[in-house]
Amino acid sequence: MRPSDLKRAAPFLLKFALFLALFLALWPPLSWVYGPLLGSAANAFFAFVRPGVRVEVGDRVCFIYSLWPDTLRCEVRDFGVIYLNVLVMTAVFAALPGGVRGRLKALGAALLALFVSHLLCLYLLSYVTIWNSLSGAAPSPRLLSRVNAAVPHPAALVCGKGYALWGAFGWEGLPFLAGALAFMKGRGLLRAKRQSPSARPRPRRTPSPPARTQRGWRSPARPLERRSYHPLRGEL
Amino acid sequence: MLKRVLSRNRKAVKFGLAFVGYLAALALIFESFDGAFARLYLRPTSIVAFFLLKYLGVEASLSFANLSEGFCDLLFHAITYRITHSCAGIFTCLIFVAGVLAYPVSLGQKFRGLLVGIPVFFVFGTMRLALMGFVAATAPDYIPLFHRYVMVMVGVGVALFLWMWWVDETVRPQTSRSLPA
Repeated sequence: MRPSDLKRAAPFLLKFALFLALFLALWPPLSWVYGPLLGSAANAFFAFVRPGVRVEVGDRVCFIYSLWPDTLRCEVRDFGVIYLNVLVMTAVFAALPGGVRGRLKALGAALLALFVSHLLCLYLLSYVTIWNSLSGAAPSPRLLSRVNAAVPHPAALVCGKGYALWGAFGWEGLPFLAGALAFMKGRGLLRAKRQSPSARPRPRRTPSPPARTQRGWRSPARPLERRSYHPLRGEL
Repeated sequence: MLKRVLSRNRKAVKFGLAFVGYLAALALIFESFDGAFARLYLRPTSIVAFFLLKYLGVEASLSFANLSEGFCDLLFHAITYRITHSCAGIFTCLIFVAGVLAYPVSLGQKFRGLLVGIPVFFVFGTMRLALMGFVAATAPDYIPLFHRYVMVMVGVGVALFLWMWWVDETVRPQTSRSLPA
């Protein structure tokens, strides 16, 4: 790493540190807005696809209520609702060197992706709750993956494992992807390749009439003869 | 309309799909060889972090009794800090690996990226564990905040920074070569 690399990286690191500080300051207002918004969207979504399931999204904890076959409550801790949107925001804003409009568009796309991923996670978790209840198990008081190990309903196990993997890779992978795409866009690496003037095929020249030399007529377009040469034996 | 959007952002979609595919493959590999990751990554990072803590004057002992289950314990006077894979930052490292593999360059350049990146993540994981151990020893109430919020953000920042540096390093020579002298 050269000093010029560090000089180029300085704005990114500075912005990143700035947003990190901003995150700590903005935590409560974000939790007041994003959690209820996600909760109401999920409830509207579940009214169509999973009647009988209701969701309540808090600051760090999310509750899934199942009204059928019994009234159940499933608690999911560390749902990662609040801090990840800020992560995405941090990554996108820090990495994108373009104008404000481009940044806002990228941020909107990243937040939308995050929102949809949260909805899908809630959908997955609602299945775990129902399947656990159908298999006669109590809903998880803590992390679902741990409880699923004790209650081996196959479908719940698969969903729980899927959620655990998403929790391990998705929460950090999504901000990384958003930041990487934003960076590539800012550097112009996502544009379709345009042919440079030097790479374009040149129009073929019409052969000029043979030039008169002292030795006779010679074609100007004649290629040079390729000769092989051996260092010891000389010309072959 | 979707077709038009997809065709306009073909490169972005291709990179995104490749990234997700590689990440899914790495997740499956991690799930299948959990024990190997524990021995090759979690154990060495924990040992180095333990010696770092010792150097800083924090009294603790390290137990590998539960390493086969994917965690080890850092024992302090009052509390026990359970070191898991996510504490050591292995997931962030695998995300970086997926990002490098998904970027459309030659295999040699990808290999060079991994060769630089993985040791950096090893160092980062060690520092992260040492910091977490220090927090656990001095202010245990702040462990959730550091573990799930601050260190995750720092981890994503490190992965992105490293990846962007690698992309700049690999793209720049190609660009300068293609430009006319």
